[in-house]
Amino acid sequence: MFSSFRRPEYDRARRRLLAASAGVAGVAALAAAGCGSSTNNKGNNAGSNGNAGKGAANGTPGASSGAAQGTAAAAGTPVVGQPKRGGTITVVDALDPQHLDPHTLITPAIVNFYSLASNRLLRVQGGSAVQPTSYTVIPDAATALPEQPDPLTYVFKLKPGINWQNLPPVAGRPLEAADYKFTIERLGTNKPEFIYRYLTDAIDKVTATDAQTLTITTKQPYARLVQTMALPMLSVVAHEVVERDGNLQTTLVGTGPFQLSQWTPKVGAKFVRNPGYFEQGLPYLDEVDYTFISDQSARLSAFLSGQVDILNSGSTTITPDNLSQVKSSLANATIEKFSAVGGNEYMFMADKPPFNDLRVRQAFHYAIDRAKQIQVDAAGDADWRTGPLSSGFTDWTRSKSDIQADGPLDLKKAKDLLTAAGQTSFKMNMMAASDVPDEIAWSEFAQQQLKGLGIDVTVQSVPHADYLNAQVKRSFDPGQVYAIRAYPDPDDYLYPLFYSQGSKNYANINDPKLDQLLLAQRQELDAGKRKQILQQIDHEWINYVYHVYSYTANQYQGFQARVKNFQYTALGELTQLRNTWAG
Amino acid sequence: VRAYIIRRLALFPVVLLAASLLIFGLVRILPGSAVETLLQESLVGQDVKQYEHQLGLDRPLPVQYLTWARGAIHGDLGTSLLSKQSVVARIDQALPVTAELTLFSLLITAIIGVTGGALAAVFQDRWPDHLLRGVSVLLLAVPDFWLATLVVTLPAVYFHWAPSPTYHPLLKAPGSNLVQFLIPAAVFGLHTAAVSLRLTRSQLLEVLHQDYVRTARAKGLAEQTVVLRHALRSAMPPVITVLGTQLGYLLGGAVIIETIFGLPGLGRLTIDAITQRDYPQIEGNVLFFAAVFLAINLLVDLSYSWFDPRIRYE
Repeated sequence: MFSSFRRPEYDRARRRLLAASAGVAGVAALAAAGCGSSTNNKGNNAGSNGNAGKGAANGTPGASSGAAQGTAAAAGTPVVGQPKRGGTITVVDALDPQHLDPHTLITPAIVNFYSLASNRLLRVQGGSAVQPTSYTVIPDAATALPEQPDPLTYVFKLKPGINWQNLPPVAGRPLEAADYKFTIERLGTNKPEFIYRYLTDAIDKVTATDAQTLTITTKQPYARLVQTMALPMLSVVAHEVVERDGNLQTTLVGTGPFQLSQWTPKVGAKFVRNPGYFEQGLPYLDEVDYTFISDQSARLSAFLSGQVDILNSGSTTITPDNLSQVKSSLANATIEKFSAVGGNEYMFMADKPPFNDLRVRQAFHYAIDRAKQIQVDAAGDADWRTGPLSSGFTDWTRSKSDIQADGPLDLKKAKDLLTAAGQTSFKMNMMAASDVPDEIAWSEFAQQQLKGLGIDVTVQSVPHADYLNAQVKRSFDPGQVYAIRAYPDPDDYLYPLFYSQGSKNYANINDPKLDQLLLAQRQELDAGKRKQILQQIDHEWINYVYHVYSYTANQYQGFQARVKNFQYTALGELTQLRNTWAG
Repeated sequence: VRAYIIRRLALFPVVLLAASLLIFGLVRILPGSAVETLLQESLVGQDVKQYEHQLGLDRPLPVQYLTWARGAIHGDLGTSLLSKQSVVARIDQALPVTAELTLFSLLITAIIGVTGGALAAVFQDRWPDHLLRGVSVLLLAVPDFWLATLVVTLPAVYFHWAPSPTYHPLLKAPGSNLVQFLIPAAVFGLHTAAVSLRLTRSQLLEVLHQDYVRTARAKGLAEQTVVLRHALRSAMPPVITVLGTQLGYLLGGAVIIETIFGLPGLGRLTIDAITQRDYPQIEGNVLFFAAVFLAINLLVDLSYSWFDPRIRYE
């Protein structure tokens, strides 16, 4: 149970943050009006119907006609049970934020802080009746999902009566559209430390038309604009703080249901109810205490002993190894299992022999025994993956049987392909980060699997920084276990990595046919059609195979029985705590 | 004594200079850079260069060192690359936690180690001696991180109890603070106590067989007086030396204990800085550790003459 590995812990937490965003991305969708009863939408999959409309949720599965639905959704996050006012909920996380600037910090806790203390234009619906992997986007500070007068323009209207928290230097002034303009533009600041600026790449212009109206214009049709606006890092920030301090590193003030009353680095934070919060009657809780425990066993012990209510680093705390122990110790607690958004994958230099030959890549694909690897490396708790759409994107991904059909173990075929390529025997390196055990395990699995094909794999275990360096310099030779595991939208993964001009085209891929498909899905505003393109890429991956996939591991989160009307989303953020009460 | 102290103090800057060069050099040859940690998956080639330039990390190492050393001389150890806070301020925040944990542990080490060692010597080859030696071997064999993990995990699994996960500052909640520090300090201190116990025992046995102890007994002094006033004090210098060394071990070993027990001390600050390649914070912390070590060594050396008046400083 003990884990003193700091680095992988950090990485996993970071990935969870990105996974967090993933959900939003996957599905912007429908507001409650489009999903049926607001108290019983568990199991509803907004994305599965593929009915794309003309509305603002275009580009996402299940998108409907915008504004009207948004209003209805905003009215109600599903509530189950009789709410009770008062009390404190304690949340534990693995890593504390080093500072409070959400635009320059990758640590997951910072977006959780903002999800408690601020509002975005849109957010993901939460609540105990909502499935963890259902990422329905609903309005937050906006009155509705945006209107879209043309394919490039999105118009958001702010709810009236939203004020900033009564804290300096903002001191309770009304929220205006200009605040969101400032937030989006600051997020997109063209400096390296603004690590999320890629989220605004497709935005041409942000205009505060009036105090309540924000207009966003994109450079080209951009399928995921709505989802982007629901990401936690798009929470509104106050320009007065930046003007006073030059940054947001020490002051957090927002419009949200809770306000930060105390933050002690490496210890925790305390949030208290915002008395001027605009959603009447919310939040129910008096306080949310946030505590940081970096050690896995200590975090788990704190949860088992009931000293913390919500385990917000579940994926790095509850594992298949200790799952039954946790369940038997805390019979009444809720332990949720999620499909992860990403997973490890094998990546090759696409412009160098032998992997510049499609047949060699295909041979690798057919030589991986996915069923065996799931047992060996993931304790049997994982979903098959044969293409770039991981199972975490429940509204985009294909059926499990379809996926499995695309990844059969076929050593004969693999051998034939290698023979046809004139590569019956060769040596290769497979690089993995030495401080991330599952990457090493993946390398070693490939080593064993490929031995029978005459491929002699040498596992190159290198320090994490060297591993990253090799990506940036495109100097791994010729293979690497690539481990970016989560991303806000399939496009965030596909476009940078596989598009010939992509910023993370580490493998030097230049495939005009794939380029065409990648651009098409990115610019397709019709969710149904976009889904078809994405699934086409996934199904036809055997014709590209620039990365070889095997499985996507599952993740776990947990919370105590006294936490009422709460449910995780793969977002991992805490917006729904405004609707939660302590039993 | 004064001349000795002045001479030792004069060596401080020289040793610290050497230590600072070593620290700076070693930290910079670690693979990877802070920029990679900061940008993580947003890492693209152009950003790396631009950010390195922004942070001054693309300047020649001697220039970087001199800039840092000049600041250090004036008490400015720079700014953390990650938290953007002053390194000195962060050390200042973390120091009370580590100091309390270390002193608490040292107290446990000294009490159990010296008392246990004295008892074992007095009862040589009888059951208390066997018991204490057995326990000390067991404590030496059990790594403190493993013991800490057991202490944190087992009660949670079987009794739904765990040490408080939230740090309680001494001045704000003294009661909770002492309760919170008791377990980590005990885990930490017991391991080092085992070393002290064995050393105290062997040293005391040696002294107890010396002529002046026999003389003291022949004069009719009570055994308690012989042991505590005459023998134990003479046996102490080597034990004090080891305790001083252990103080350093306790400071360094706090990394693991602080992480497991959620204490926001210097150890955690240092390990986080190392994993995240926060150069100024690593350099600042290690320089601080070096200075503390020097001071402890001086104090240990000076304490010898108090324990054994025959010792003179030249």
